[in-house]
Amino acid sequence: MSARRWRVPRPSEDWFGSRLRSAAVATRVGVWLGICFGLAFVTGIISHYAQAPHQPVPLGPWPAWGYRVTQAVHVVAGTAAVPLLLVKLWSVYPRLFQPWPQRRLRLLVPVLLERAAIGVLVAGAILELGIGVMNVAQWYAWDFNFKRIHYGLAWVVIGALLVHLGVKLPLVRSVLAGDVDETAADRPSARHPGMLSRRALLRSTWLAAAVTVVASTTSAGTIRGLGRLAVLSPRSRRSGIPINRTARQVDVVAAATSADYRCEVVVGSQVTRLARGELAALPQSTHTLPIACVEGWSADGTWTGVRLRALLDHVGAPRGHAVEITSLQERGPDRHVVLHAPFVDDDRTLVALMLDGQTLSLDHGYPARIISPNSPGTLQTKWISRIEVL
Amino acid sequence: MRTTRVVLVLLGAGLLGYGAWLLQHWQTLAQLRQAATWALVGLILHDAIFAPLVAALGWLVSRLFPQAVATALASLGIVLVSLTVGGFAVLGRSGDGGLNHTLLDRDYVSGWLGASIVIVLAYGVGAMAARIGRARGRWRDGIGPGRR
Repeated sequence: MSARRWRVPRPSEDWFGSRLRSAAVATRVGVWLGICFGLAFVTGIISHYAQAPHQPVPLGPWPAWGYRVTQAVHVVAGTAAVPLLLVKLWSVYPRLFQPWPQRRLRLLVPVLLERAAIGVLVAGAILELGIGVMNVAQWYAWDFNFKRIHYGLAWVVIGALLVHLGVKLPLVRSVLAGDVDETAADRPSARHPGMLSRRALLRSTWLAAAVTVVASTTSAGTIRGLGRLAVLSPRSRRSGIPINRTARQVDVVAAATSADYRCEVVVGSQVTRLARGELAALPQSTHTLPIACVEGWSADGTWTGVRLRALLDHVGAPRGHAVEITSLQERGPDRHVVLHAPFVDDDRTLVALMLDGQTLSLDHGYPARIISPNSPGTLQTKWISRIEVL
Repeated sequence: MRTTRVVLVLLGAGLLGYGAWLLQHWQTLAQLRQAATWALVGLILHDAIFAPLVAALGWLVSRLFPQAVATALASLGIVLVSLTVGGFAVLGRSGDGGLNHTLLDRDYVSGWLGASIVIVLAYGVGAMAARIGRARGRWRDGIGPGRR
């Protein structure tokens, strides 16, 4: 009896006989995935630019809801992209086992480049969506800087996506021009009907994207009735307006509640120190403005305090200048932020002392915080210690 | 179309290169290595574990159940798997916000379970309604039981 050598079977694209794993499905899902990536990319760039200390063309404070809407779109598009990416990768999975052209360098090089670009696109997209979803839930299981990796990777992914689109454009056009059940672009081995029709697969994908967005939305408390459905939202809003960092987490409780607290306003060499009581004695204004976070949540609050412009007029600061706001917190990227001139001079930008008719709580920035329209939450500095005219 | 393709590829390569420059410019080598490891782990998790598992499940369902049931299960699977993967960052992390009571302030496992039950029931009701609709159609067309 001869001993047979046992070999691990080598996966081949012929193993996948379903017609569902087709260019017709991959292209249609890919169009929506591309739209989601595009929306997330553009809104991400807007957020990044809005937080930049140097803006060649400063963004304005109008409309007050601008940042809230763009960042909700950012997170919704990113969340919807998760099921779309899963189905897209499922539909093209057999391509992973396509044979390489052999012994012909001229054929091998373009295939190698195309596959490398796809590898970068897939790995980048998985990482970008993965850390994005984790950031919304404030789960930082890494040592790298989330904001910078997420931003840099966004350019990599969108670049790899354009390269992929450029390579596949003729196929994309021909597939989209035909019917979804067209089989001309199918792999030769894809001969069996799947468990679903292609139309049913696409409908299920759209439904999955919608369900995932609704269940995970961070806009749960912003849109009436969504709270009960958003069972996977990291923010239920049961405790009111969300907080990103508490006073204890950034170790400002002692400094913020000290009787020696003073808010410094610096104009050139002139320094004016104001106690909270002195800020409260200045003319007060009240505005209802949204506070919006890059993580997608936003909430309206009725803020009362001194107009920042009135405070700067009080100390003789000229108009048309940006200011640097410093927080009592001793570390963290939000300790120093720059508020650009259009926001500084807007009548709705406040050094807020009260929220919804109550003294600011410590976690919302007591003794004083900035609130300005159409601004990222990271620029709404809590626990103000210093305002310096630049 | 050739021009469009060339422009797309060149523009894409440029953006990709810019992103790569940003990544290496802003992070230390150790941080970059960690991010690359995460990307690789994500890729392996998908290509070597998740995708074969889904393929095997699909194969099993197609052989174990009649076509109509398999169709409903496949569609249901897409929705439930998406819901679960979309919620991976909160499932099991209820209360992990610590001092921040506005973060991770739900019972996510119960929420996921409740949503899954509602979705399964909705699929069941939908399948029943479709079946009744088909039966009525057959009666209307005169091919129902007893008229053959």
